[in-house]
Amino acid sequence: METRASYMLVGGFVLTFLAGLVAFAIWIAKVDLDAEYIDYDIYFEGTVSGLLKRSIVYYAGIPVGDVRDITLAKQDASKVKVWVRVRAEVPVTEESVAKLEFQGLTGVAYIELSGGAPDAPKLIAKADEERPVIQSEASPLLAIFESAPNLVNEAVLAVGQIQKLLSDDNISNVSGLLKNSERLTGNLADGTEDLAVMMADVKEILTQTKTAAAKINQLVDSGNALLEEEAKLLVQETSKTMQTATALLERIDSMVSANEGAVTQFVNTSLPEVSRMILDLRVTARNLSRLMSRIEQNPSEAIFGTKEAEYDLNKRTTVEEGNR
Amino acid sequence: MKSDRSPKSLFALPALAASALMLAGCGPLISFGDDGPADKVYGLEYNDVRAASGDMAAIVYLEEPLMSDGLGGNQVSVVLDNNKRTSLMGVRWSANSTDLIRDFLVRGVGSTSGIRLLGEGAIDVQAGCRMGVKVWAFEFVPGDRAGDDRVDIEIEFILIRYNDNRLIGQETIKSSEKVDGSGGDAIVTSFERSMKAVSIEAGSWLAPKSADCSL
Repeated sequence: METRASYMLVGGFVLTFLAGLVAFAIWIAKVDLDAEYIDYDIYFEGTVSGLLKRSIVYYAGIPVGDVRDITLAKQDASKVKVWVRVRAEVPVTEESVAKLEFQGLTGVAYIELSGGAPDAPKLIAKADEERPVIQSEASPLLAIFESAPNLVNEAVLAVGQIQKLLSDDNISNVSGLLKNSERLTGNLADGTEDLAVMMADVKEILTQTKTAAAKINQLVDSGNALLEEEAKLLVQETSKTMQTATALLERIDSMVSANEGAVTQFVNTSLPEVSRMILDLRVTARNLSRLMSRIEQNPSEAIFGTKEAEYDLNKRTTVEEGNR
Repeated sequence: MKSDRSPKSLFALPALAASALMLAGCGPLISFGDDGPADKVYGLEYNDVRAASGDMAAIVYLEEPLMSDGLGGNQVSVVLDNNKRTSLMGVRWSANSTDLIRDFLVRGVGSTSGIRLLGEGAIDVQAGCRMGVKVWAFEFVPGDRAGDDRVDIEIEFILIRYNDNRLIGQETIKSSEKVDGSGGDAIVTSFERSMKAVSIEAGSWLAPKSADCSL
């Protein structure tokens, strides 16, 4: 008996299966057929280790695109050119910044877009650019990773220094220091008893000072009252004294005016005369002083003169007094 | 027989005798001069007095000179070798050398400077300045023979203004004159020549300071 197959049924089944397979493939690939994308270029300084094709591009923590390609920059081999594709609705402006970040410590890198005011101009490609270029920024985490070897070396050195610091000698010294500190604090604690006594004395002194201040206040008040009462009398006495002094000065002034000629003559003539007389008296006093000294030393010589030789012009020699 | 002498006369004779004895005893103590020849006495005068006057606008009072030790007095000072000093035998000044020098300078400096100088006797006259005088040397220096004798004079002048006691000037003038001849006359003549030279130089120094001593 010949099997009667339904070709229509088989064909429909196969077509349905293929359509489902295509739909499944699309679902698996997460192809968003309705989405629109814009391609950008990002130039990073230095390494982008951990970043791969298909790595995710985030904007404010939301996946908005992926990395399409990673190559060295044509113009500068020290830079890395990363081609990313970002959803068109993402506000990539001229102020936007791309930063290379890492997920935890796994080493998996991604690109984080940030910044940009809403009203900032939209980023577009310039004349010599293949795609719009998003400005990049170094990642702090990347800087840490780059300096990690140096940190390890410095940590090793630090450990060495700590080992030297914690040598047996230093530990012994620190122990002595602690013992001394203990003794010092003990003495301080003992001294606090004297301190308490001293504080009591200070308190007593302050009390006495307070009492004295109160008495001084009373004294000042009394003085003020006394001054207020006596001030008028004092002013009257002062006024009277001033009047007397003024009268005296007027009398002196009139006396000087009346004798102005005599005073002028005295100043012009007598004063220089007195000055010269003083000079002469000074010379006389000096001579008298010498005479007195001579009398004290040798009275007879002072009275009768010294015995001295004289020069004889005829003999051209000195002659003693007795040999003339 | 009764004596007619009074008691007073009895004591008078012994008292007179005792006084004579005491006076005779003082002979060795008090010198009454020797019996040798008398000293020759010389003055020191400035004879070339042209105008002992000068301008009345500036008057300077010349003070009494201060003499270095040994130069004062009436004797003529002599300087020998090794800084020995003595006086000239048989010769002396007519007055104290201080007075002689002052009078000589009053005339000498006054006539050469044109400024009126006043000395002794003018103490009460108003003056613009006073001039102090210090005599460092005023002495006879004998040589080995008569022709080598000389006279040295060194005088320092200090001019001070009365108004503010400001020192106007200070100058030391030296003069050394050879003694032409021997004896007191030649020596005193040399002293006069030397003093005249000092006066002329002092007058030249003082003349430009007339304005500082004007009244």
